[in-house]
Order: sequence, then C-alpha cells, then structure tokens
Amino acid sequence: MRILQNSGVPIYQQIAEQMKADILAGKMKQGDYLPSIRSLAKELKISVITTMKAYELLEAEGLVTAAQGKGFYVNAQDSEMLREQHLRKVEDALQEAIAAAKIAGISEAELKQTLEALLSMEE
Amino acid sequence: MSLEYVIKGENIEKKFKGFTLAIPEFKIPKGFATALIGENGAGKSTLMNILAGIRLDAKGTIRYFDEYDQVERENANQKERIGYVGPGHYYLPHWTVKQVEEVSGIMFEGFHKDKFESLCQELAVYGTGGFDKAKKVSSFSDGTKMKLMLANVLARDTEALILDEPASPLDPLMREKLCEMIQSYIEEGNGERSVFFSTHNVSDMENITDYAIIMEHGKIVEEGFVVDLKEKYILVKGDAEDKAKAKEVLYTMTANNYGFEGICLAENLDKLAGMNITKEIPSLYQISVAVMKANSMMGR
Repeated sequence: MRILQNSGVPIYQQIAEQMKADILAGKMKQGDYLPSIRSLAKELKISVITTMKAYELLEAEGLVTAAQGKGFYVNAQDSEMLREQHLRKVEDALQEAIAAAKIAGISEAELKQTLEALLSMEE
Repeated sequence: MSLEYVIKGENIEKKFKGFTLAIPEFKIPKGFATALIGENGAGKSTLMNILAGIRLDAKGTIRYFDEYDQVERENANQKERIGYVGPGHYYLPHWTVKQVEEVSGIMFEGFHKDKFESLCQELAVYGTGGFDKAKKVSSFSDGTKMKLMLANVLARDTEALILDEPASPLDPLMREKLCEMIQSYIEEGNGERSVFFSTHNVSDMENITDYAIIMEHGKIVEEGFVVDLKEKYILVKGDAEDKAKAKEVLYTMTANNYGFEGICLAENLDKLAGMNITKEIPSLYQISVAVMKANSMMGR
C-alpha cells in the first residue's frame, strides 16, 4: 500500500480506495478479515483514527462489515452490480465532460482526441 | 463511533497571578494518541500536572477510566495505572541507572526490570559506550535523561501515559523512535491504552496523533480528531488581486505582492467563489499555527 502525504486526497480515502481495489480484484475474499485498525496504523505509521475512518468508509459502501470485538471482514461482492455502479460513474463523468466541451465550443472530434490522448498518457 | 474516555474533567480551574487556567469540560478519548498543543505559557504543563496529580491545588473534578476521581487517584493501586514523564528531573542526580531501576521496582508492582533493560538498550541510553548501569544520572544530557524516563515508564504495566514534552530534548531519530514506541504501546493495548502528550514538535508527532487539543491563555480553543480538523480547515492560496476580498473571508492569512495564503473554514469556502484559488489539505502543524494565531490576536 502506498500513502502519499500531499496528494490532496485524504489519507483515509487513499487507504479505503486501495483496499476497495484489492477487494474488487478478489485479492481479499469474502469472509477475510482486514488487518486490525491499530496494527495497520502501526505498520503504515499513521494515526489510529485515520485507519478507523478508512474502514468506516468501506463499511458505508457495504464492502465490509464490522464484527463486534473481532474487526472487519469482507462481504460477499455482487460483481455484476458493482460493475454497473462503476459504469454509471464513468457515464456521469463523461456526460460532464461533454457538457463542458459544449460550453467551450470544443468539437466532437477534438473531444475524442482529448480522451484518446488522456488514455495514452495513462498507459 | 462510540467513544469512551480515559480522563474526563469538569470545571478545572487554577488561578495564578496574571494567569488563569479555566477548562469547563475536558476529555481524552480512550484507545488513542492525543496531542496537547499551544504556545509557551498557554497552560499545557499546568493542565498535565493537574491531571497527573503533581499539582493538587486545582478546583474541579477529574474522572479516570470512568471509574474513580482525583482523590482516589492517590491510592497506590490506581497510581500503577497511569505513567507520567515530564521535564522535571525526578531522579536524584547522584543515582545510577541501577538505582533508578531498583527504586522503580520498589515503587511500582507492574515494573519489569528485564523490559526496562531492553528499553534502555533500544533507546541507546548508554550511547555508544555499551551497557553500563553504573552510569550516574548527573552525567546524562537532557535527551538521555528523557530516554531514561521513557524507558522507565514504558517498562511498567500501565493503561495510560501522560507525557509532557517528550519529544523536545530528543534528536530526530529518537523522535521517530518515540513515535514508534507510542504506536506499539497503543497497538498492544488493543483499544484499552491511551497516550496524552504535549508537544511543540507538531510536525514530528503528526502522523501518530489521533486527537488534538489546542490551548491558548489557559483555555481550550480547539479540539477534535485530526481527520475531522483537516476537513474543517482548508489551506487556500490565491492571487494578489484578490487578497483584500479574501482577507474578509479567511480565518488566517498572510499576503505579499505576489499572492496570498491562508486557512479558510470549510463552511466559508463558497464565499471565495470567483477567485482563482488552489485548495490543499493543511497539516496539523498548519492548523495549529492558524488556531493559535487567530486566538492570540483575539486575546490581546
């Protein structure tokens, strides 16, 4: 796990996102326990409250469940539904981009070019 | 998140000539590391001394572990539960390390000699000179005296630590070690151990700080979990042309001919709409400085 101090993304969110990726990729399976809040804090040299908040975020998204006194375990993932959710997010973001392009008078071709350029930069 | 508190205080008050410590309500969450931050003379040590039982002449009530109050605190079995380290040198100068170890063994049932010895090694109390328990306390530097006190308190079975400026006399490497030790202490406690420390070295201690209490003029002016404070205060930077307008909105601000920089309360952020600004998450250090600045200007 990599934590960036000055990325502009709160550290608890970085942890939650990386754990979420692990869960969705199947690296952490249904019923697996997450590391304890305090041991993860110690390992990553961050405060306890930060890991606690990260786990709360995962819990709120329904990815994990808190078991009284035993920590957090990974829930069964409905992969079809999760894919659907992500697709919705992608569509929303693209809609926003299209709207912004219209306002600025950017042509369709230019917009497509921009997306392709960004995609190639990712690689 | 349901919270328990390791120490709770009500109406704590202590008057000195020209200075009054007055804290209507005071809480340290259980299972966390809490930092006490403030200017020199803000009343940090006075508060810690009252909580630790070094100063017994303050008004108010204090409850520990939600089990007992400050009168009962003076019982020997309760004294075992909280460890204290502070700037006062409470070992006699002519004592040797060996004698410190023996006296601690007599004073506290939960003191482990073997643990003390391994902690002394780990903290390099003996420096590079090898293991030498005949060394006198008077021959130690301030930093080494602090290390000896930390080894001593961590060798005890405790549920809470009150550390008054533990980082100040330590070098950067030892500060990191101190942070590791505080984290291990809390981790081993599995939610039952808490640490309360005061510090001017906010940056060095930031990564392990869960909860922060900021004091000014004998009062608590801000407190909260660091993750929440980092959402309440936002670091903004902007252009010089907007500085007059920004000054009316920002919590604290510094400006020069090229631009401005300051802390904005999240609730006021929309008042900066239309300005070309960048937003960043402030460090606890930046939040502390802003809170101290804002409150010391108001108070004077």
